Amino acid sequence: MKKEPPDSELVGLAKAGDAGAFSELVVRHEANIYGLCLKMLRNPEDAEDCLQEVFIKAFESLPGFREEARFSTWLYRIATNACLMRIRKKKLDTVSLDRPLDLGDAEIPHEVADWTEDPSAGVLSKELSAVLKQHINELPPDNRIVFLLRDIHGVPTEETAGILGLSVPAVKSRLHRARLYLRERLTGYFSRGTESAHQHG
Amino acid sequence: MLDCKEFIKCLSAYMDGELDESILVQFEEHIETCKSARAVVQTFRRTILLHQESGGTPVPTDVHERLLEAIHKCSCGDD
Repeated sequence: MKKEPPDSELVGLAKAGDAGAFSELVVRHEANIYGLCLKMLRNPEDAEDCLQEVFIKAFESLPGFREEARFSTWLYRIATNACLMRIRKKKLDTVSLDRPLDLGDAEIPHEVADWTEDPSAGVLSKELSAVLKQHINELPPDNRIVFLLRDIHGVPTEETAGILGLSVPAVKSRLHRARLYLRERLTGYFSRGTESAHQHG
Repeated sequence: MLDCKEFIKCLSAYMDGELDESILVQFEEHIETCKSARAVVQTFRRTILLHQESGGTPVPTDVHERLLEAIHKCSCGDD
């Protein structure tokens, strides 16, 4: 079986004018970039506009791309900047981007039920998927982007810090707070399920 | 010995394999002795996993085609 060429090879070909190579890069990375834009911008039309903006910018800036860098990280940088710029312009969130995440009880030790033992916690139903999506939407953009880059897209901490112009401790702090919030929200969701199961016998 | 508040602060570092050896020992001791701590670790880990599993968003065919068209126009120098 023919091995797929690495991104670096396709980038080299694309820089030399091979349109097919750039199309192959698009096919490889469009789902990740589209997913990021959709979760940041929260509507498909804006996500599509942003997706096009990202790849057009990548195409136009390709001559200046240093091939020793990772192409995917570079794309995530372009996408992150595009998403955050759109959010700031459109003021999709009615509160300031700098508003700290309200963690409620998440940082305070309290009695915690282990909902991972609930059978429904192991099944990604449509309902649970919708709930997870809603919880991500509740995160302020500054926490959401870190969670998406680090935990969903697997971008290493140092590269995430570079993309966002933050220190490594700042990235870690935002990620931790996002994770705590999401855990607290899911705990609330599964607790309600347990309560209603008891009510219905 | 870690108290519960410190324990919560260390959660992410633990998940990411970044806890110093000395704190790791205390952290794991805490899990062994505190039921709530075990529940916190399990639910924290499962939260991240669930979000990762639900993360995939395929690009709709029409979106993909419009993307390629937009890039093609750009490469031809069209406005």
